[in-house]
Amino acid sequence: MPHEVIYFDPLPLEELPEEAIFRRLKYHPHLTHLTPKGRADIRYKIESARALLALKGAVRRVKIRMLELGKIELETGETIRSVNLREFLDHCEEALLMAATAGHRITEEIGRLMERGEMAKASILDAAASETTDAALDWLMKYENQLLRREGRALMPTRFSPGYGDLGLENQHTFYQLLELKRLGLELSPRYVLIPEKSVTAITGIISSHGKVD
Amino acid sequence: MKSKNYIKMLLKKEILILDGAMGTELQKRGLPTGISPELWCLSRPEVCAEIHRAYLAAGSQVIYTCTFGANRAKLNEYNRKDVRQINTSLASLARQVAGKETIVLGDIGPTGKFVEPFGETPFEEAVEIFKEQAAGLLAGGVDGFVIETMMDIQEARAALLAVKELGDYFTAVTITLEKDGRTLNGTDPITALITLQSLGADAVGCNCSAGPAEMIPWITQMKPYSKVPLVAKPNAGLPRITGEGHTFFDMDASTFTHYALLLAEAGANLIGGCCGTTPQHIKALRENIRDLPPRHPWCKSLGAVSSHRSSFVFSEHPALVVIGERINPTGKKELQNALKEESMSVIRNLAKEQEYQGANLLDVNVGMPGTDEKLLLRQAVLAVSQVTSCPLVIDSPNVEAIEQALRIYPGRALVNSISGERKKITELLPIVARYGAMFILLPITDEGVPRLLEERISVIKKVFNAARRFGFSKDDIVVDGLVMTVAAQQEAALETLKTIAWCRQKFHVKTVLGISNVSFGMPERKWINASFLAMARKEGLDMAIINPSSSEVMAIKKATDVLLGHDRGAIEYISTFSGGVAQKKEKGRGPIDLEERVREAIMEGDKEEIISALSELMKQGKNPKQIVDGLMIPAIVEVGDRYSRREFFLPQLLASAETMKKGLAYLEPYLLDAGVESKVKGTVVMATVQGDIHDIGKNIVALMLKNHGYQVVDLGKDVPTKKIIESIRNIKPHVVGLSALMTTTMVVMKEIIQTAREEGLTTPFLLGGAVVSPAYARSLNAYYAKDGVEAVKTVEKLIGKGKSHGGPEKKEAN
Repeated sequence: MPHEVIYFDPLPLEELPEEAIFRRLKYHPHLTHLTPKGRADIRYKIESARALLALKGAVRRVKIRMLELGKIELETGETIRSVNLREFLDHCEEALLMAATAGHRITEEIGRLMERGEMAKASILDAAASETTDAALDWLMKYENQLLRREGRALMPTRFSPGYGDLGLENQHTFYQLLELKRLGLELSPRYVLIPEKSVTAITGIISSHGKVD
Repeated sequence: MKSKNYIKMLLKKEILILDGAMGTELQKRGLPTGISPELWCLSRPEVCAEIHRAYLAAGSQVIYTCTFGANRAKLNEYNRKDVRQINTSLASLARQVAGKETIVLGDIGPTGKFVEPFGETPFEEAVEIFKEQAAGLLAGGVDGFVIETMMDIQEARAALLAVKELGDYFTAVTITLEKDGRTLNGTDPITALITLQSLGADAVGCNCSAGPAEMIPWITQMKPYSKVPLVAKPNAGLPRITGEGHTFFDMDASTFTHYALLLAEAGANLIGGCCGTTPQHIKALRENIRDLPPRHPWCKSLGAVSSHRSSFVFSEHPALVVIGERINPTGKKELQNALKEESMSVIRNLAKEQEYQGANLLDVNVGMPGTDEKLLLRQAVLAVSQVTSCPLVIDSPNVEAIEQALRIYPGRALVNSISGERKKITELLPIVARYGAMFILLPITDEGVPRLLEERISVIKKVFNAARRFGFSKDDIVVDGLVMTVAAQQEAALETLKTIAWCRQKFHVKTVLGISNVSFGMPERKWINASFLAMARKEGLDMAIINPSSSEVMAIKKATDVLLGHDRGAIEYISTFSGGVAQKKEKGRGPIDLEERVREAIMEGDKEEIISALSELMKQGKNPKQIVDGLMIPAIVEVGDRYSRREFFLPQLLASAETMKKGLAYLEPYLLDAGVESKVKGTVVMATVQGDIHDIGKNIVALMLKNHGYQVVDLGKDVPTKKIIESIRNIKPHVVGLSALMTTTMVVMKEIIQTAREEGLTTPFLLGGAVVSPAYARSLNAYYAKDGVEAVKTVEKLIGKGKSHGGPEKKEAN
């Protein structure tokens, strides 16, 4: 029986990924000159992003079957084409589909700030939203690993997202359907862009126990 | 059935050995993946019994039932509704194997769903799910319960309350921590311990997620705060992944035992194994730990509160504890209106602001006429818990409202307050005890407010004696010194100070004051509040309910912390106030620095300073063109250079660009008056291509170009090819800038450039965006810029050398 989608609404990610946000803003720990006050100001703006974030997420386990080179068949009937992903999932019989979104409010606020010409603040919120959405996927993987550990299984340590490498963005449609992302308030544009902008989907493999426990 | 007291007595004498892993042992015996271990065991009871027997033979003194996932939420996935019966059968099986002598704990695992306020599952639904499972386990003959592998403190609370509401059974609760030493929703070991032991857990600890070595620091951290025995049930090391893509645990029994001994030394009182451990691990554990004396819990009582992600131990904070008072609708129209609409956004903001301003705890009071306080207080506690780490003070005269709030609050709260009034003692005190909260003792009675110290002492003693019968100690209580307004009774302030001194010197309890009450009805209240706080600090006041945004009161708090020796080395005081002095000095510079101030304003991105400096320069009759050309443009060019060298990062670059833009706008009328024509260096059409909605990068480039004197026609995002081509034809720009963030939309760039060339348009294209590379741009005979600074330089080169057509020269291949 196919697994159901598990939703996290809200997704209780506690810490904003500050280091990753600074990195995204091109901060260099040894080269960039930033006064303590300047750093505190940036941190305050990052923290202000928290009030605008409405993190949500979804995960679903699906059985997979490797077809010929570059094709993976899901138990639900869909096929994903990607040579790299096919190779990545080679040892897996099951995969985890996941999605996370930062919600509409922060995207709207970034738009408003840009209209008002407040690009510095907009860039900070933009980086915070992007990195936090990515951190939400990390959180979903940690969550699933907690459950899998009891089954003697684990997730592959990395993940693939549609639109990157040879996993075409058109696969976003499969993710959108199987994770029923409409329930999280997401839309999919005709060109497979998730709306709101700060939304992301991904897939990783589930590996099983070797049985070498003694 | 072994009673709770029997198990507690055993734990005073020895370290109890738990069993090892069930799941990985079942897998060895053929449990396939993707099916319920509990249902598989039900159809093969002999396999489950064999594992129980193996652990008993290895020396386990406590075994867990094989019911980790036997809750309604999990079994529903397999279309099984007979939750109670499944639990009873598996508990009976364990009981049968264990006999009468061995302790059997009913194993309750997580539902896999997060509980409000951290997830969708309603709190009471979670309680019912666990109650159903626990009732089945009890019917099967368990001696107590273990609530294990909890990744959400609120779910652990729901399970613990469910069990407690069925009867007084020994219950251990263990959480599972990530590498960073916190649960998935951010609870650290000490906070979990404080929350769960106060709610009535008989043992607390951690299991799964890590090996025994990783668990040692967590048990070490918990021990000094433990009122109850600690549990450690680690995995056989960390899972490894083979080259073929399989997981396995590889820590052998002797290494496991080596670390388990260290866990015992750190203070674990119940030790066993989780994933990957076997009867061999437990046998080695038993042989080595058998003769070790247990380390008993360190505390008989603990004055501490917690939120879901942090705790506050009062004895560790000699400085004045600030309880933020602003979540209170009295006199606050905006909050009153929000509460009438049951909107929590104002409350969330007040919580975050107060935490940022330095509050240690937050008082939550939503009482106002015409609203349902029971409902609102519950909602407010949930809302505030989501956004702040500060533990809460639940403030209401309504007993039912307090009960609802305590039930849902994912931590240990401080209740404000229990007085000597009959209803409070008979109704509220048992509720506060049931949820393990601390409380503020308010020395008033049904007859009113005692005026003199002696009368107040009598009430304090009376309430404390009643509380002791419910297990409260002095550590669990904070006495309110009762602040009355000096506008009505001038001598009342001194009586309050005497109460504080008596509590500190004679009764040895912590004290709190609602400081601002003292000045009610007086003008310039801040001075009376600040003075009263300083005087109360001298008498030994521990906590104050104050407005942390009041600079006077917070300054007095910080100053008295220094004077009373609670701010070691005055570190906090110096870090608060030294910056302010330095800033003021800087602002006080004279007019001779005006030109430098303009330059610095751009370098530092100070939008206010640039207007102030420019306006003074204009008053002095300076030439605006010279200011732009001689001061501002060199400054913004230097900012770009620093960004290229990574001495500045993006927010600094943009703040400078915004400041430049604001400065130029300010000077524009002066430039026109001086007859300086606005000279555009060139025109750039910019667009994010069709299908792509990301435009922050494009907007940054546009801002940078404008600041360098270019006219930018920004077509926006998701722009159709046709519109871009039409704009090139109509506007005749020097350069076209295209942006795309995705591989799928990047290809649209090719379509645009091809169309332009087919139509005979030779304008050069400048490409950018996360997925665009220099090679891709070259392949389209276009230019590439990685960021705004590079875009300006490229456009300058293109226009500067008069190259307004075509693409980059191709380098010859070597």
